[in-house]
Amino acid sequence: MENSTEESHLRSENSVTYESPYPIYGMSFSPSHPHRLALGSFIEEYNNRVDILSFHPDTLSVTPHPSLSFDHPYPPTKLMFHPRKPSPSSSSDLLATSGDYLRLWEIRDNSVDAVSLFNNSKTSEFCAPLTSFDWNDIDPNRIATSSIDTTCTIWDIERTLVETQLIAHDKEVYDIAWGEARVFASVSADGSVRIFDLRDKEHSTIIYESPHPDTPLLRLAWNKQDLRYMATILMDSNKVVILDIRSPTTPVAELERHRGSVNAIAWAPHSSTHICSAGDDTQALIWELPTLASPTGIDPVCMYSAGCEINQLQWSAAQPDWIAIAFANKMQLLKV
Amino acid sequence: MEGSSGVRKGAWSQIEDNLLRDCVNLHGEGKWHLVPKRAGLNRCRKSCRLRWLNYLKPNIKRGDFSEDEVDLMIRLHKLLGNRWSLIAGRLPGRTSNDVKNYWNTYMRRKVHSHKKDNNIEKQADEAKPIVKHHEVIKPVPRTLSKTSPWLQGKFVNSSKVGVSEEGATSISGSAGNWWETLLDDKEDNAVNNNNTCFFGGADGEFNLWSEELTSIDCDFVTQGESWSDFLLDLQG
Repeated sequence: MENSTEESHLRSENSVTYESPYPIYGMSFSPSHPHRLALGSFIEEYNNRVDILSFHPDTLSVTPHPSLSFDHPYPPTKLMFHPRKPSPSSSSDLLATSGDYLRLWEIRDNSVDAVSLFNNSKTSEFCAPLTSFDWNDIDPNRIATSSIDTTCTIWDIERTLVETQLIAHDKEVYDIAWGEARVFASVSADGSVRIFDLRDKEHSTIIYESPHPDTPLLRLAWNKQDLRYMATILMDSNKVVILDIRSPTTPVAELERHRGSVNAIAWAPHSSTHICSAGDDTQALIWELPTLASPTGIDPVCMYSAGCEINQLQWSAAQPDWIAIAFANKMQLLKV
Repeated sequence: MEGSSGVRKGAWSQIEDNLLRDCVNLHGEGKWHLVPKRAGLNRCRKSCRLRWLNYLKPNIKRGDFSEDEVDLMIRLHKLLGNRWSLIAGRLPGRTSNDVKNYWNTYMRRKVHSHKKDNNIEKQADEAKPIVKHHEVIKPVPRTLSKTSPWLQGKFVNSSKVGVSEEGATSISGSAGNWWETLLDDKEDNAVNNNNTCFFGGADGEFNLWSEELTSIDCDFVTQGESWSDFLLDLQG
């Protein structure tokens, strides 16, 4: 009874649900427009949509903007707004999407324009789908993309050119994340986490390899509050693996309270010791990492339960009190 | 009717074809802005030019593309992309329109047969001309395994009571250098780093290794073991 009361309390006063006309996967909070969210559909066809919503924490409501909705080819594998305001005088926002290509869109007051399509192939007969990308928040002229063709590509946004393309992984690269202006890391189906330094392109550093050979690593999150820490998840595993780049090969912690596969991870934007994970057990868990290792394992400090498997998770940097989760065709905002 | 409704559009008639052909035969190609008036055609110059280049020109080749032509088209498309006029320029008698239609009908993969949004397609076209060649870099992986010198040094240090504190500090500094350098974005030139020198060349490795050995003050057996582990690590 206590649990149901608590859950009911959370649902009515601390969460907002938006029901989309289609299944959703890609999500992004806008840093420069604090109430803005982008949602990408997940329809296994060519025709997909990206919707722009407004979230109002005062009234606990979410408003879609039909005039800012646009067609997108294939389900977007990642959505990300420009990490800063593109220009002080403009009220526009820039949104990057990945799928068959990396694309840049300008979100205006009442319309959306396709600004750039990033294509590094001289022939149009072949493109290597992108699994993810990350927008460099220190040098926003750089976006790093990861692809199923084993490449990590660094793009010059203004010139829409390839700055650098690196092949270090043996298999598909599933996620990529910047740490510093010229340092990024990636995870792959080959089971490794690698760090790259653009100042030393001849080397990469393997800081983790999954314990079972060829178990793919699916997602990577670099702690922006404490760059020594990263988190990654393994395919079909309930673990969230916490890595310290100073202690290669051995995780500093393994969070193992999910009862199904983990699908998404996100560090808190305002705390270096908090991380959120979500997975097939329909739960989103918030963990607080202790300074000392605990022999009995770490328990989450918060738990949310959705109606079905949670596929995506975003922790808002502009409003750190709110987390967005995506499951089926619903997007839910949770207050933490 | 033609005069009152403006420039004529749609299919060309035989009479129009004859007028255009006579005009080009008399005045030659080019100066298309004068052709409609000279030929007595109620057509825009672009339409006249396209009609001539794609249909009326005497040396235009009809019929199916030969095997050689298809093979050449494939190779040119890899080089030039969708620049049909450039490809057609190297296929004698073939028009850019024929090349484009043939490619889009027979060569394009089914996965790309979908209809693209006009805006996206436009962006795609605009993006292509400025694509430049770039070299793909294949970084050599470093695995900082448990047998790496730094970790080995720590191990030796922790197992020997007699090791000096100075040595411990040195080891700790070495271990810290790797990730500190990585996260210290002020360093513009990575070559200046000991870290890079250490892994970059045999001499550097040896020198740094010697320094560590000197500071650690290990006995011969430990030294041999560490050295062997280090070599194995390099090979791996």
